[in-house]
Amino acid sequence: MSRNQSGRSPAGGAVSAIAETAPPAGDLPDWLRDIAAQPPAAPSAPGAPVAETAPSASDLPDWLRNIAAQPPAAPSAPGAPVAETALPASDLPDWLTGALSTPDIPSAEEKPVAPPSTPSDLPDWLQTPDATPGAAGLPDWLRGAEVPAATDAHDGRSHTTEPAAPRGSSDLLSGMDLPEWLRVEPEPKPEPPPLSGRDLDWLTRLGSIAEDETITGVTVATPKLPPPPAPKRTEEQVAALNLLRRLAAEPIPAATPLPLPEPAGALQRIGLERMLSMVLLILIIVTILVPGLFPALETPPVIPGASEIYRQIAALGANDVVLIGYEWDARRVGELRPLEQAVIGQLIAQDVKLILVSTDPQGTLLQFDLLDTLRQAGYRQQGEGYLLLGYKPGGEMALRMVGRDFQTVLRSDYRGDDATGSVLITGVDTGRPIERLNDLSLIIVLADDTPDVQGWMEQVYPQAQTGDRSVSLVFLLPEEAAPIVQPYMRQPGVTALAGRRGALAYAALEQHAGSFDPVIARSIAQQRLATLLFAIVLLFGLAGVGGAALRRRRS
Amino acid sequence: MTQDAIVNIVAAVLTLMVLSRIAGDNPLFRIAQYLFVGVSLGLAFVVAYHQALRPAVVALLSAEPPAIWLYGVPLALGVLLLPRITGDQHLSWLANIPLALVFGVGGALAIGGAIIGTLLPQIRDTARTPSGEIGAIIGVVVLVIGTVLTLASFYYTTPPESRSGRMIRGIAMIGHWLIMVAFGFFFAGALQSYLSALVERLNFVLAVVRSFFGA
Repeated sequence: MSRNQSGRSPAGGAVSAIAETAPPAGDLPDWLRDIAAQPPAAPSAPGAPVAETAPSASDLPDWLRNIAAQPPAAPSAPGAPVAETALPASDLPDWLTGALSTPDIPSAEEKPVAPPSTPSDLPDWLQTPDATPGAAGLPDWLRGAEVPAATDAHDGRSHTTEPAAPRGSSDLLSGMDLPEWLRVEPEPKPEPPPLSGRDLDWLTRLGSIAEDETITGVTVATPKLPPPPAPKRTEEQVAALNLLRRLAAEPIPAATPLPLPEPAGALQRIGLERMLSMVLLILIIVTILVPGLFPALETPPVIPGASEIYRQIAALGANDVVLIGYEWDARRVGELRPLEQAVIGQLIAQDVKLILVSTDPQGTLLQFDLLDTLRQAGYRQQGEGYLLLGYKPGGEMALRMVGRDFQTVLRSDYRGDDATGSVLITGVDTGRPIERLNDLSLIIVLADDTPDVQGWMEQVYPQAQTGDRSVSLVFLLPEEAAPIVQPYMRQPGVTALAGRRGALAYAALEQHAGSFDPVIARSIAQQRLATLLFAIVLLFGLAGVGGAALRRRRS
Repeated sequence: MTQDAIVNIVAAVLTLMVLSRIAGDNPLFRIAQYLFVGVSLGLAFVVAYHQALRPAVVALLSAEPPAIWLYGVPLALGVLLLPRITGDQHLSWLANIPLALVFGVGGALAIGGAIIGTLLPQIRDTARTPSGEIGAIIGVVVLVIGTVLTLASFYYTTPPESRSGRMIRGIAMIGHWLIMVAFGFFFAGALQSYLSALVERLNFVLAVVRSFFGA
């Protein structure tokens, strides 16, 4: 068994390699598997016979137990390849009895015991009856092997007095049925190559026998690779390495104190931008404190969309219902509060019925501010003169519901009550029930940002324009959002009024000729003066920055 | 001192704290800023509680079948968001269900609304038929040319060395300046907004100060 396997092993081509390489566990007999699984035995003393490492009697096959119990026979003469003691055929295992009965194979007394293999599995030199383990009969890998001592072919014990083979071979193969001529003195074990620290770490985890065998096997089997070529470094890398070495070698220089900066002037300490902002603030305060500085600036502004919106709202009456969307927050109170007072103030003055809704939390709060105004104006209670729906969560989803399913929106007002049966919605007073969006007279949206306008235009406006009765939309916006939403304002039925100027223009339309409110006139003048002062301060700032740049260039 | 007077004084002081930013970043401005953010969030929570959460729970407790379906399912979806509060990731996948619903519905609404309410109307408005007036005709021509030049400024796939690439680069430069003009209009609008807010706040502060002196 071992012979055939070892004969096919390409490792080394030496007998020593054959003996030192442990066969796989599946190829071992049972009694050898146990030995291989046992922890390594203590190393035998130098010169101890191989027989000392033989397996115990219980691990031996039956035909070997008797022999093991007998004292070892006298060592045979060196060079005698054939075992001297022959066992009866009944004591031999089957594969040995078959080998004895085979006429083509030399008997056990003359030839090494063959493993339990068929003749076809044997090499040619073993299948030949007169083949001897001489140089001519041996395969290439066995030629030149020296046979130092005879070995009992039956029990596999060495009868020589020579020192035992290294433990890696003797412990493992001492009980095997190796032929005598294969029990050669192993060549001196080559010194293993120096192992790296990583290899040693790996080896320390293994048992001693397996460790030695594995080391030997790996050492023999691993081809020796040439060392990798040294990396070629570019000139830049070499220069960088030299710089690193030089920096590492040089001592750290002592910190040199930075020169003290020149003391900055008052203008530099304050900063030009900050100073310009303060100037602008002071000028605006003076403008507010001293009204009538520039009477020419108190003329009412003219906004093209204001007159159209005014006309639309002026056409409404007490039987009309207007939906007002509060989509603004307190940040825009400076612009949208005047717009609210101007436009919604006119609706209130005309006793138009109002439905208030919002998808903005702050807009919801601002809705409640309007309640006081409505009560003061004599509006009837919730659900009759007005309907406060409150906050509708969901953003665009809520707006879509407003556009597509207005009755669902009416099912819950700001208190959670169902408003579909209210006087305002059933049309008891107006004579026109509100069942869908197109039943409204007008939609007004107070929006503080572009997405608010976009949401109403995308979700509500298409529905408001369909059907037999289209509803117009009016957007009240801050000046900042007006240019961005300009494309929407080109759609039919959509108008917008933006900013404080728009509110003042709308308020001016309400005034009768010759009775222009002085408060509105003063507000218009303040707004214009503020814009004018900003432009002046901006020009002064540009001149200052340009002058400073010129001075730096000259210096 | 009436309640309105106290409210006005607090509002005036907060306004001055915000205006103190002109003198540089300072703790007064920071306090006003944080107060504004905190109050805004608190208000949003109060509104959401009173206008959305509480009515839903009350209706759910009424145990009427329509209310259970109408409010129970959204409430259950909202509860599924809660595992994201903790750092434990074992149950956080549950929050994917309502989030997927929100993003899916929101995306569908946004796309549908944008196509119907924004894209198509604007394309139609850009390619509208001019009326007989010479001013309207010039306006339509300027609008179409400006739109094409502006879109050309975002055309990057032509090699600049080629003849067509040089031509598109020249067109894109004009479109680039058209965009700059549009940004100028936007800036002017924003300036009007901020100046309006400034004038309104200064008027308010001066009115409060005058009220102390009986003016």
